[in-house]
Amino acid sequence: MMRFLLACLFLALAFVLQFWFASIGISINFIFTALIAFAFLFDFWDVLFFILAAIFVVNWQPAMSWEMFILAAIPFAAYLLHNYSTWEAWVANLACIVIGLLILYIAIAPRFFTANLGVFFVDLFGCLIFGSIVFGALNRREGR
Amino acid sequence: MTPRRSHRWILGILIIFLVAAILFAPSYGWKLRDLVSPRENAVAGQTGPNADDPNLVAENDALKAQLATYQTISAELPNDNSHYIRAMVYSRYPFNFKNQILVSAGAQDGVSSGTAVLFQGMLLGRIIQIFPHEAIVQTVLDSGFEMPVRVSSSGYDGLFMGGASPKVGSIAKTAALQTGDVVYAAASGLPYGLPLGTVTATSTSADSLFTEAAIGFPYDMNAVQTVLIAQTP
Repeated sequence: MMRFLLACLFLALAFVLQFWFASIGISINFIFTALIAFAFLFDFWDVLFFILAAIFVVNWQPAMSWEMFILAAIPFAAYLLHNYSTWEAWVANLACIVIGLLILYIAIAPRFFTANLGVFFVDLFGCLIFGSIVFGALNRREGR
Repeated sequence: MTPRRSHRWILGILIIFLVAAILFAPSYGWKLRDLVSPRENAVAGQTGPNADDPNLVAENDALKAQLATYQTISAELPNDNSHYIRAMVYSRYPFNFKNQILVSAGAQDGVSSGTAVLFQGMLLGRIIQIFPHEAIVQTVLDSGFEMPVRVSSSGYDGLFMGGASPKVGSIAKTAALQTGDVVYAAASGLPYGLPLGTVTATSTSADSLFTEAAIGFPYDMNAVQTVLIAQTP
């Protein structure tokens, strides 16, 4: 239960960080990264709750959009894949962040991706750091 | 009931609540998001606690100079606000791929697709999608925003291209542009002469055939809270 509450705090922190960085012109997908890390640490219903909470705050229009579908689908895919992965969980988490972010950019805005590779790498760098912190903190909590 | 089972019950209720909120009351999510987003003044140099700051005074002077420039095309600006609908900005596109905002007026308020959206008398964007009570605005900072414009009181033709570094391209190489020259709309479907911003730097295009101008805006897009929407294209 404590780990679940800690994850809620990390998700809230991801909301604040993502919108604060966006306000100064830096885009880092903290929320997306947190969801992928959660996919490696929680069961299906917990992951579903975190994804819905993220969509509730991130969804910006009355109708569901392609972006929200991708935001939900990639952490779910990470959840399904980690059960079959033979890699160490922390390595698989980082690999999923890289692949997930790549899919996010290509699926939503392929032209933007090819024209702004620098933006992608800044985003990736921030996501890998945040993803490692979230995974490390929650995984340690699980070990206790 | 064990703690684990009670956790499941609470989680189940929360999941049902979230699904209902996403489907039937998304506006609560926008409000929550607004709470965690930092607030800023939309217009550079706006009076406030730091109004004596020399930097702000300088910016204010720069804005006054820009205003004088805009007055050169004032005869061509729309002067009847009765054809505009005031709307609040509900939320912003959450990723960095697009620059779009959701505003609080839609089809039932008379908003139609393609119409101009203004902030402080300047063209902020245009309507690209309409819902019954809301509409999506593609702002001038969106990488997909392109439109014919004119530059300076001489009216040099150019093509405005939005994005992280908005610019006007395809300007005749002989055009005598200066920093501070006003850029205004000259696109069909939008009121002629709506100012977009000012020239901040000029350069020659990669193929050396045209002049390009980098464009600056006297407001912070992330801090815009209300806009005016033209009722007819």
